[in-house]
Amino acid sequence: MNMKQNELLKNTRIDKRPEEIIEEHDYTEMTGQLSRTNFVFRIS
Amino acid sequence: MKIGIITDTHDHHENVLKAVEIFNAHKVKYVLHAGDIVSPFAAVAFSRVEGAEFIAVLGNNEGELVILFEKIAEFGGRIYPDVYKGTIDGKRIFMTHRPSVIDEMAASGKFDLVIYGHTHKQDIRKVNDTLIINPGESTDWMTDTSCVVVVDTADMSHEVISLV
Repeated sequence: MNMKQNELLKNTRIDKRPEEIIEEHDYTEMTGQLSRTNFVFRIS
Repeated sequence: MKIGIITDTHDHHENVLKAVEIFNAHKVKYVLHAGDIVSPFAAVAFSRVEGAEFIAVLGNNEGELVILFEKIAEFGGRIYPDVYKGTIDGKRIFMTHRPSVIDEMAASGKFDLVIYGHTHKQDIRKVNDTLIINPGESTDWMTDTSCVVVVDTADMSHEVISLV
């Protein structure tokens, strides 16, 4: 994922609805398999 | 509240439009796409699901990521790089494209609904109290079946609906 894509990701709308809670992506609780594949990125 | 679940559309515009029609008929409030939209233009059709929030994760076949992000954002949707993790109508949801961690996530007991795609094969089962759903492909590249699933969060009942 290049810088442009990262920038777009940061700007992606997170207009959640009242019935939705978006959890912070705490990847420390993810599996080792995820870590090995560099499978996830932090969104904040 | 009803949630429409779809994956692996792979640019099959005709089936995407059928899925949109089904989701509208069921009045879903969310459309969750487990990845492999591929063309950014194919994603735009989901804006036709009236009154629904569109949330997707990237698959391994997405092509033009920049425009895909832009097109989805244009109609108010969201797309996450690999994992969507959130609570909708009180149900804890984990969605990713790849199947590698699904069983572990389900066994964790931290989620009511675990969604994935990638395999193009339908997989709907329960692990303890967690419902796992892979609707199977919604395109027709690998199987003769193309399906979406509608889940009712009230009782986590689910309906498999064919697109063919």
